[in-house]
Amino acid sequence: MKYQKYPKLRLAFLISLAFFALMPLLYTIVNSFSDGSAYALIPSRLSLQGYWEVLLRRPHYLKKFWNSLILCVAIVAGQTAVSCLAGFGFSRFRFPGKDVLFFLVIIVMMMPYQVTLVSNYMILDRMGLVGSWFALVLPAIFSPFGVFLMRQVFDTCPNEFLEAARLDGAGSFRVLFSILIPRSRSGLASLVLLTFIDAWNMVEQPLVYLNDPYEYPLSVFLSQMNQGNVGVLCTCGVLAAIPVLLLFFYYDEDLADGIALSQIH
Amino acid sequence: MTLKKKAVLWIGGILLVLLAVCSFLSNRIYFALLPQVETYRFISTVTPEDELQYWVPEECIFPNPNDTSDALLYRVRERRGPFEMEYYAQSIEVNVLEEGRQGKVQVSGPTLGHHENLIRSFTVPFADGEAVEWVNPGELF
Repeated sequence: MKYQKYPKLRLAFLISLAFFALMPLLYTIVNSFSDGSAYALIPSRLSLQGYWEVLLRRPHYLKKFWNSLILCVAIVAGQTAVSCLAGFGFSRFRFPGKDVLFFLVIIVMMMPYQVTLVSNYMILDRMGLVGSWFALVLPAIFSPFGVFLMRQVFDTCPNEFLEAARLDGAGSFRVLFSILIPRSRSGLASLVLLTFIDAWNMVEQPLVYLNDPYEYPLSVFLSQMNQGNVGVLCTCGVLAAIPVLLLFFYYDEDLADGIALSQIH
Repeated sequence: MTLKKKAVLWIGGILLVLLAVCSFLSNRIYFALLPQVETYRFISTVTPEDELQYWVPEECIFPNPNDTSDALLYRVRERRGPFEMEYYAQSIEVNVLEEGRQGKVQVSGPTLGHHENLIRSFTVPFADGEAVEWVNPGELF
């Protein structure tokens, strides 16, 4: 009952918090209509120069957008497949060293990416993959977070379903693709969304593994936002926000369920 | 599938198609608005004693804005562009040794290749490293 005191005050406080959270996005959208001279809360002169430059005048920005999109699709597809298979293995099979292996997965998940950057570079260099997109996609596919998430999600499926399927003659793959994955839609949605955002925002990996600036994704360009025309930079920011927002609106109902299922607190 | 998901899919699909069209158009506009340059095919005839001195047409000499040398030559090079190969201008710093012999100037500078395409005229000013449209790539002399 005490939480129902001062409802208007609490509402005003929450609105002001939401405003501060949304402020950078609003600022980017507003400044994408700037004539490019300086950042401002409200641009002194409105212009579509940024949109003309990014969408029509130069193909460089859209090339980076497509680079980002192709990389993200490859990483999300690969990581989803690998995570489902590995999560299934950890969740439903008994084998020696299973707990130790899963503990190692969790340890690797806790490591910052920079820890393995040099060793990854050396391995990829030996494989002759530095300079190609495989250098970005391959390490990202084998994500310990995805394995952990999918194992937790698969663990929530009652054994009775699986036993019934096995009695009907279903093999392991049939059980995975016909029972576990359809029952884990919310977990998969979380995995797809979080992986996409992670891949969409990567900056260090392209800088380290790629040599040709034309191969860089949009995130690398956005990380250098302190240089250049304000209108162009903010238009690129808007462009970068669109796929993530669309994906979020598509999966928002599943996201909370998926994270709750994985028991991440 | 809920109505919201269908709407998001439609919006996403339409945006992707629009961005694909914009990519195609921007590539065309980019190439259409590049500075057009015409080149002189420089063929090296130097001997080892004077390999750093050569004669080039007067119109190939451009002022150097940085004062690090007397003048600049620009040669056309090819590189990977955003969606396809593109030509660009690369500057070469040279010092002028002797002027005005049959419209040619003797300069000293880095060794040029046996065949170099030196820019002699342009439609719009360009900078070092900037992409250009090479109007006479097949012209030999």
